[in-house]
Amino acid sequence: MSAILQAEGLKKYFKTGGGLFSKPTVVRAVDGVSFAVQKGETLAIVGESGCGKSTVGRMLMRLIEPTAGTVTFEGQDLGALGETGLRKLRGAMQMVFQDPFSSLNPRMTVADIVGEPLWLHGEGSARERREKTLELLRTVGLRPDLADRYPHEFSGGQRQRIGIARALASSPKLVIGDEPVSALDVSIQAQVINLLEDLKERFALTLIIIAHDLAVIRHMSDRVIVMYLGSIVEVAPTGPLYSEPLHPYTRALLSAIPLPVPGHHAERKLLEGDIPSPANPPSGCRFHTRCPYAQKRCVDEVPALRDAGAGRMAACHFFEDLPPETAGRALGAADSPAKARRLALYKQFRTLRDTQGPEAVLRASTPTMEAVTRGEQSS
Amino acid sequence: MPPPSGSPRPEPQKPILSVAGLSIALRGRGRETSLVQDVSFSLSEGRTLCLVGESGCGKSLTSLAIMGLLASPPLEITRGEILFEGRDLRALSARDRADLRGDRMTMIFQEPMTSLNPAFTIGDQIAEAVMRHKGGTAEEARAKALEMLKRVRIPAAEKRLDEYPHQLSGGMRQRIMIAMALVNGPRLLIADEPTTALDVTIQAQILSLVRRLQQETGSAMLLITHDLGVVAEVADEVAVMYAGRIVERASVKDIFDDPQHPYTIGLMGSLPSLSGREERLATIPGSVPAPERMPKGCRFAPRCPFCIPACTEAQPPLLEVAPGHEAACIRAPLEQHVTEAA
Repeated sequence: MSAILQAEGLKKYFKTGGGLFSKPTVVRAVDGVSFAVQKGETLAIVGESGCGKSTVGRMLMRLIEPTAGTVTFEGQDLGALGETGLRKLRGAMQMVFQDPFSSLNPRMTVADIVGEPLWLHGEGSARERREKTLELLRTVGLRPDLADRYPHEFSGGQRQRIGIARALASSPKLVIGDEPVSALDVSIQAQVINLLEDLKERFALTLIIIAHDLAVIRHMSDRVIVMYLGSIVEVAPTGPLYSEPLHPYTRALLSAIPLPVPGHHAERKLLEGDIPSPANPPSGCRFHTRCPYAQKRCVDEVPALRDAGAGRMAACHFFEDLPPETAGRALGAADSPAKARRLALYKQFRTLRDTQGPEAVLRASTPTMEAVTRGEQSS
Repeated sequence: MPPPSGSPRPEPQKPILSVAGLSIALRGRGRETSLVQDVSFSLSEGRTLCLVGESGCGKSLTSLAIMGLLASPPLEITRGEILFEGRDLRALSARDRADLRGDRMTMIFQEPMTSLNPAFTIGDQIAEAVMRHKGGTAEEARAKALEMLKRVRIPAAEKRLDEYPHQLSGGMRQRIMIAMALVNGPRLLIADEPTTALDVTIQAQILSLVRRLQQETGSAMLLITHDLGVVAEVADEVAVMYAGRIVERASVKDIFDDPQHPYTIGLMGSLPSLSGREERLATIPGSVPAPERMPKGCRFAPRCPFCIPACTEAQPPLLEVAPGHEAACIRAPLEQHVTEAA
C-alpha cells in the first residue's frame, strides 16, 4: 500500500474578538496534526465537538487555508498549486457534507447539481453529460426520472444520495465524508452506509470518514484517528482500538456510548467535567483536566504521539503503565436467540422480496388465520 | 429494581399518566390529515416509558399533546383521553393546565439554548418557576434554585446563579433545564430527546444524572428518543412508534431480546454494532410515507419484507403476543408464520 494523501504538521488558528484596546483570542482549532492515508483504505477521524475533526477535513480539501503545515495528494503539494491546478485536483478529491438540506442549491435541479462537476471539468457534449448524470443517479439508487426535480422534493436520505452522486461525478479517487450519515434516521443511515461501502468497492475509492458516532465508524473503517481539542490522541486499526483502547480519552469515549443492550449501564466509568474551550486549552496534555490517571507530568509536558507497535500510536506519557482495559463492555452482549433468529429471518425475507417479489414472500408463508377464514368464506 | 423473572409482578400502581386512544390531526384548507392515531399507554410512579421512533412518527406530537402545548389550530386532538393523576386533562381549563405545567408535570426539550431565556440569569429563571407555582419570597426561591443547581452537580453553583445562558456549555445548559424541570418536584417529567444535541461523554453524564434524580424523587418519566442505546439505558418500558401509531409495546428487556414487529427488528438490524464488523447492515427499504398518503392497511406494509396481501387490507390491531408484550402485526411471532427454509 502507498499513501494517497499525507498531512504534515497541520495547524489552524482562528482569531476571534479583539478590538481597539483588547487583544484578539486565538483559538487553536487544529494544533499540529500529521497522518497519512493509504490508498484504498477507509480512515475515520473521530472526536467530540471542538476537537477539530471537521477543520482537518476542510484543510485536506484546502477549502480553508491552514495556518501551517502541508497536504500532499499523490505527491503534489496542495499549497504550491494555483487556483487552476487546485480545481483540477479537486476533481480527484471530493467531499460529502453532513447536512443534505444546506449543501444542495435549492434553485438547481438534481440533474444540474449532479452534472455541474462534469460541465466544470469540461467532459463531453451536453448529451453525453446528461447520459452520465442519469447513470450516476442510478448508481446511488435514485430513479433517473426524478432528475428534473428540485432538492426540496426529496427526503433527507435521498438528498444525501444526491450529494454522493455529485461527489462521484468527477470520478474522484478520494472521498471525504464529513458526518455523512449523522443527520439521518437510523433506517436511512443504514441504507447510506451500505451505499458508501458498495461505491467504495465499485470505484476503488479511498474514504476518509469524519464522524462522532463510534458504532458507525467501527462498521465502516479500517483505521481510526481519535482527536481531542485539536490534536491526535490515538491512531490504531479499528479492531484493536475498540477491543483494547490505549489512550484514557479513547477508553472514556468508548465507555460513554449507550449500548442497545438493557442492563449494561451499571459497569461504566463516566468522565467528569466538560470539554475545555479550544480558546483556552489546558497546559501539558490537553486531556489532563478530565483524565482519571493524570499526574504531575501531564500538567507540565505535552505528550508526543508515540509508536505503540502494530501500527498503533498514542499520545499519552503513561499508556504502557495504565491498567488493562476491560474490553467486555465495549463489545456488548450477544443477541438473544430469539432476536438473532428474527434478524436472520428479516435479512432472508428482505433478499427474497427484493429478488423474487412479494409472491415469493406469500409462498414462504403459512396462511394466517384471517386468510384461512377468508378462504372458507369465498369458497 | 425489576422483579426477578419468574416471580409474579407486583400489583401495578395506579398510573400517574394514562393515555387512551389519542389521535391528533392537522386541520386546514378543508382537509384533515391524521398524524397520530389511536395511541394508548400508561405510566406509573418511578417508572420510565420510552417512546421510540424515527422522524415524523408522532412521538413528539404525543408528548406535546400531553403537556397541552400543541399548536392548535392547526393541530388538534381529534379523539382520546389523557388522564393525569386521575384527572382528564382535556376537560381542564387553559388556566388549570398552566398551573399543572412546570409544577406537577414538566418538560425538557432537545435544545436547551432555545428553551432558556437569554435575557435573564439562570437564578432568576429557576426562581421564577418556583414563585409562579409555590409562591414565597424571592430569597426563598433563590435558595431553592441554588439547592437545585447543586443537585444537578453544577460546579460553582453560587456563581452560576448570576450568569446568563450563553455563558454556559451545552451540557451545563441541559443541567439547568433539568434543574428547572425538577425544582417543584413534578410527578411526571417529559424529556424530548434530552441528550441528542450533546457529545457522547456529556450525554452519559446527563443520562446518569436523570436516572439518579428520578430514583430520588420517584417521579414518572416519559422519554422521547430515536436512539436505541439511550432506550436500553434508561427505559423500563418501551413503545415503538411508526407513522403515527404504536407498533410494539413491551418491557425494555423484551423489546431488545424478543423483538416482534418487523419494524422493530429492521431498526435493530440497521444499527451498526460496536462488537465487530458485520458484512452488511440490514436495512429498511424506502422511507416513511407522507401523512396524507398513508396506506390503508398496515402502515409499515410497503416497506416490510414479510408483507402479504392481508397486511394491506386492514390496520392490524395492537395485540398481546406474550404477557405484557404487544405487537401490531398479523405475522407476529414471525417464525410461526413463515417457513424458515424459504
